[in-house]
Amino acid sequence: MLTVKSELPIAIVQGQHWTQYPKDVYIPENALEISVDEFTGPLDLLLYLIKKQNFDILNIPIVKITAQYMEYIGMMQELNLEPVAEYLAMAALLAEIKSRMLLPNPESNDNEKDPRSRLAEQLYAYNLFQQAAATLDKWPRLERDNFVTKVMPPNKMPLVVLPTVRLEEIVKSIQFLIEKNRRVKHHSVLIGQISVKDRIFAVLQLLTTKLTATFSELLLFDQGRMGVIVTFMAILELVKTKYIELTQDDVYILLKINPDNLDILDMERKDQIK
Amino acid sequence: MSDGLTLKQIVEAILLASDRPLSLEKIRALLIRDNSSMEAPSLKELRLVLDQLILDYSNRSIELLEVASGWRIQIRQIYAPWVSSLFGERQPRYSKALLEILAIIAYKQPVTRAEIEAIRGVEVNSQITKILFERDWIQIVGRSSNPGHPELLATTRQFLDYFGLRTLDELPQYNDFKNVINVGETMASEDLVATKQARLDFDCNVNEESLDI
Repeated sequence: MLTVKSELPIAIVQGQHWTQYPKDVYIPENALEISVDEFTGPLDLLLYLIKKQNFDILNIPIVKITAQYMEYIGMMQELNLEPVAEYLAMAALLAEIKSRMLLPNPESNDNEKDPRSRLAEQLYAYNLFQQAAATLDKWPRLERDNFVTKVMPPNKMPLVVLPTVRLEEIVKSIQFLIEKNRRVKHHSVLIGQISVKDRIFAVLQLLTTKLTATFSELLLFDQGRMGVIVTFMAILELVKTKYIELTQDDVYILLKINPDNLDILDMERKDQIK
Repeated sequence: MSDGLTLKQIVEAILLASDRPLSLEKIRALLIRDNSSMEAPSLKELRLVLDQLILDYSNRSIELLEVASGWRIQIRQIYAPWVSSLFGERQPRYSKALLEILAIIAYKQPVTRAEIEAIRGVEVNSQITKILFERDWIQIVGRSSNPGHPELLATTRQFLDYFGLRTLDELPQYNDFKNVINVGETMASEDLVATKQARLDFDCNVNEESLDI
């Protein structure tokens, strides 16, 4: 830095001796002082003072530290940096601890806690998190240390777009299934309540393993006609929430799990394993 | 696979073209073509293929890495000086205060703003949390039962992805954290593991609720 060089009693620039600063060089008054607003808070400032002098956090020379802390607060005021309430609160706390340590304690000292202990605990914890923050900052991260590859896919992607399913097709297929299941209905005994939510999970579960399925594959024989309707409602709900896609391959309507939502299913399954 | 295509090459093509990590399940779903009767490979087969790719890349500038959301191909760190100049001066730098808040959330989650303030001794700058929310690194996972029911903050999967981590356990561990975890607010005496479990449970609950009709 230029300012440091020009502090030498005699500067030699290209063989020429200088005893004074050149008049056209402006050196700010506080150029060499530590900028006070660099600290993120009163604890940060305290930790800086403690570390600078290699003090033990658990045994802070409170009188010394308080004096130095107040010096910084004064500097802040000089620089017209409004010392925020938190800094002043810390100054008050330091003064309080100082006075409590100076005052003789009439009670036995054995079970009396060191007045510094709470602050020490806080400083200790904060110091640890500061270390963690520094490590995190050095940790390899995207956009700085690692970059995601992005290879352009070929222009002409042979994309097979299956015809979208029209509503009437869906209705037709559900009518067919209801009709088909009406005939099996008298085989079944009393059917309990079937919840749409249960069917949603059943459908999702089946589709996560099979990935595609037809309507009829999702039905449970013993749930009869009610089962068809409830399953149908479950499918409609899943389509609406974009968990699954409907495609039509020939005459059958094919249910296809939407790959965008696999992550959610993935997590659910992990949960089940637990 | 027909046409002399190997599963390895197809998986590689998918991963190269994607700019987001892909989970095993997702890769598997992408392998199913609508009008072919081809069986999807098992997750075990897929893993084997990914292991082969990792080996293939061992003397190349790219690497295959598993992060929280799945698998991604990335440029190795040693090439960062050259690659980053490609993007100009855009590489983000984060302030000391932001990193401190992020570290506290990462290690102490779920955590309230008041608890962060208790550790740092200063108010949490809303500008900083805004950045963290916008980057998708933190999320609100619920509300504390303390008076006022303050929001509980936790990190996201995107946070883990960004730092190339699979789980929170891969963060550098500090033994002392166990002792200081309750400093500040009187937080229930749950350790890191319990809080993480709570977070997982919560995530699953959310998914269930979103399916409710």
